[in-house]
Amino acid sequence: MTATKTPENSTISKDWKPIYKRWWFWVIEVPFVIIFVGALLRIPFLNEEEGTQIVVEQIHAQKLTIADVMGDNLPPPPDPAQVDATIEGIDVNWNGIRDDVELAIFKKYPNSAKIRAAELQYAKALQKELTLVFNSETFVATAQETSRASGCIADLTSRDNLKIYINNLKGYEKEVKDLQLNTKERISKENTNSQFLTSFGGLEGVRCDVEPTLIPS
Amino acid sequence: MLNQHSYPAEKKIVAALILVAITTVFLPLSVRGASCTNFGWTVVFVNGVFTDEGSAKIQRQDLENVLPREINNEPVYVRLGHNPSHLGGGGDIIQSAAQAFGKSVSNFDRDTILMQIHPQVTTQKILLVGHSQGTFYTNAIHKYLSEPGAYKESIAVYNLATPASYVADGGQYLTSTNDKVI
Repeated sequence: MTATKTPENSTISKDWKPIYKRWWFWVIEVPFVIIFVGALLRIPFLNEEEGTQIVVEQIHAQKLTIADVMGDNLPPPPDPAQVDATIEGIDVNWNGIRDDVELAIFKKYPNSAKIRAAELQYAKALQKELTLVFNSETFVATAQETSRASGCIADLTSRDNLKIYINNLKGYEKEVKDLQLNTKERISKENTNSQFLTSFGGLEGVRCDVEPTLIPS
Repeated sequence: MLNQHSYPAEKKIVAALILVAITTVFLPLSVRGASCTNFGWTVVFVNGVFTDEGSAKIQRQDLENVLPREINNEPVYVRLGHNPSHLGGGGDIIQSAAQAFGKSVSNFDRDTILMQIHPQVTTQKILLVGHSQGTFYTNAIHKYLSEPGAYKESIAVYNLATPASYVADGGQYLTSTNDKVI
């Protein structure tokens, strides 16, 4: 014979309350909840930080090669309908320089590999500004690469006559900028990027991706 | 007996406390000493009012290109101390007007620039180059950096198109008589 438990003879105290109705439960629980929710909310930012780090490394890692300078892997003329259809344009040889810009530089300087090297590096840096910038860190990384390339262009001319030096520097830079920023969309993207500007300095070390002494002419 | 056993332990605790105290007092000094070297030169360019961000970047780059890469075999670093525009430039005009009369509306921008350039300035020899409204900040930064304990004689200011009424540290100036604004 089994005894039936009724509320009257239950061994459970009448003061019994579910755990969530006890004050100490919430004292312990609330900090855990806050930490957990905070950690969840941090996930997107952690992903962005990691993504930023990867892109910044990518920006600094992609260098011009001597093969690019000598035209060993020149692309075919791109389809005119596709050239300016997007901001990034066409780059079938995957060297980070837009094909139409690369071909135009080779056409203008068929006999000066040194000028080609400096201008191609500058074009490559400007292309990164158009395609890889999405926050201040990536903006600064591209600005540092553009600055290196500008320095490489600057080294083409002697500083003995500063007027000629500056004219040449500005002239070479303008040639590449005119080729690179040739549509409203590309100019707009360049201007939009500027919202990410912050204080920064140039990179130390060599300016030219390809050591000028290794270039034949 | 108990005292004999506890004495070495107490000695260790006292020794540890002394070590902590020495570390606390001297480590920051050694870190500070290591962070700013006597080798090299840093040029900090502070842009002016209505200078859009793209131009500020190019101006820093131009300055870097016209300056020598080394002076006396010591490297020259060029940093941009970014002076951002406020309210499409309107806020800058109010700030500039107040600064021209010797008042500072806010030290917020000066402090922001200082905070941003701080990790990038690793040399004791510093040249502050200001343009237009940026000259108020180069003067203010010079004053801040020249406070007691700093290397005042290693910090200089070169201001261009300055609306400020003075050049920090009693610097010389030249004003065109054709300048209707000043």
